Amino acid sequence: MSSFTELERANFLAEFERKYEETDAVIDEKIKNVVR
Amino acid sequence: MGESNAAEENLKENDDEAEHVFAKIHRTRNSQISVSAVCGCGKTVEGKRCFEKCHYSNSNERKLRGLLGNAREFLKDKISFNQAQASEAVSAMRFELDPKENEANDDFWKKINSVVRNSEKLQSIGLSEQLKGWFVRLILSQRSKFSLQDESQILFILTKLPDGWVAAWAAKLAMVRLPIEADQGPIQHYLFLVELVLCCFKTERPLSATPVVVEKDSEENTSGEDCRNSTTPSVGSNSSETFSVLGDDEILGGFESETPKNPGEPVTKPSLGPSDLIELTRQLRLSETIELDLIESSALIDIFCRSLEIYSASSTYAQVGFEFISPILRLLSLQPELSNPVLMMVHRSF
Repeated sequence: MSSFTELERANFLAEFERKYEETDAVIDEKIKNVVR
Repeated sequence: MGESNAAEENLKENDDEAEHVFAKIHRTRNSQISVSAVCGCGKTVEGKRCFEKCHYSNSNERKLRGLLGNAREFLKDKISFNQAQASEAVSAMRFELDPKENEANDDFWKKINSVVRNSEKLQSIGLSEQLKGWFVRLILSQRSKFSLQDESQILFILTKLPDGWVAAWAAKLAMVRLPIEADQGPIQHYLFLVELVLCCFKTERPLSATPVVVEKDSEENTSGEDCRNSTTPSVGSNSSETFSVLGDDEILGGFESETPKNPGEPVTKPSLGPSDLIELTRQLRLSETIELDLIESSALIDIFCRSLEIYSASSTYAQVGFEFISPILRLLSLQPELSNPVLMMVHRSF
């Protein structure tokens, strides 16, 4: 296994946050309709 | 749905207010006035007279009640219409949330994020129970395909969930039976345990489990749920104990009931306590079985940090945290090149 660099770690965390940031626009709209 | 609930509430308030006004008018209409005076001979003379303070008659009241009735019917129709629209909106949302066959990993996470981010709003309009169910179904439909990073992502998501949802997820996890299959990655099971402990923290409930043997149920599999942990004991295990604390109805529904089935009966909260978790962790015998080449370094560090989080978060679960950390420390000692990034992460975390 290759050694783990700071850059790799940063990429890993960035990917993590990105995954959490992105939502499904269609579902967001449907939820908005329900809540309204 | 929010508008519909508000309109219904409004209608009830208006009805009550109208009745209150009618009652007040009646009281006013029938007011009496009493006059008393003392006569020169020493006798008290009293006079009473009923009078109407306003021009109000039964026919006027009938007219007013007629108008009120019409307004009430109009509002009820409007509410029914809104409710039908809300029901349609819920169905449309549910259709979108349902797990799709061969769904791309990114699409799956977007869905999960949408649910998690809107969970408070959805709870406020009374959709909490349904949403919890859809959330669990969505995750279980995909979990067999999870990478280590996906598993870590679930831990991350867990920290964002409302407590009620976490309790429900913990109940789902608690019914998974251990020991586990030998051919399933130990790290994933390690993550499963970390997840279980995080659930315990979030619910802030010292939990006691009653280990019971549960027969393998076909319903759970046919409902599309993950069955990777629901099989027979592994060859690597040193115990035949299995753990489950949910009844059949809860297995089918996926959730414990939040209200007692019989009034006055205390709500049972299924989950695992620290000692159960320690026992389960030991059963994994991670330090003996983990193959180093199976581990992605980034995921390993993430797991390590979450273990530290558990270890430092609560004295109740301190021993559990220690049990989790030990095998990871052993792995790190075998891979010195990982130590520096780990130390940096630890330094940042505390």
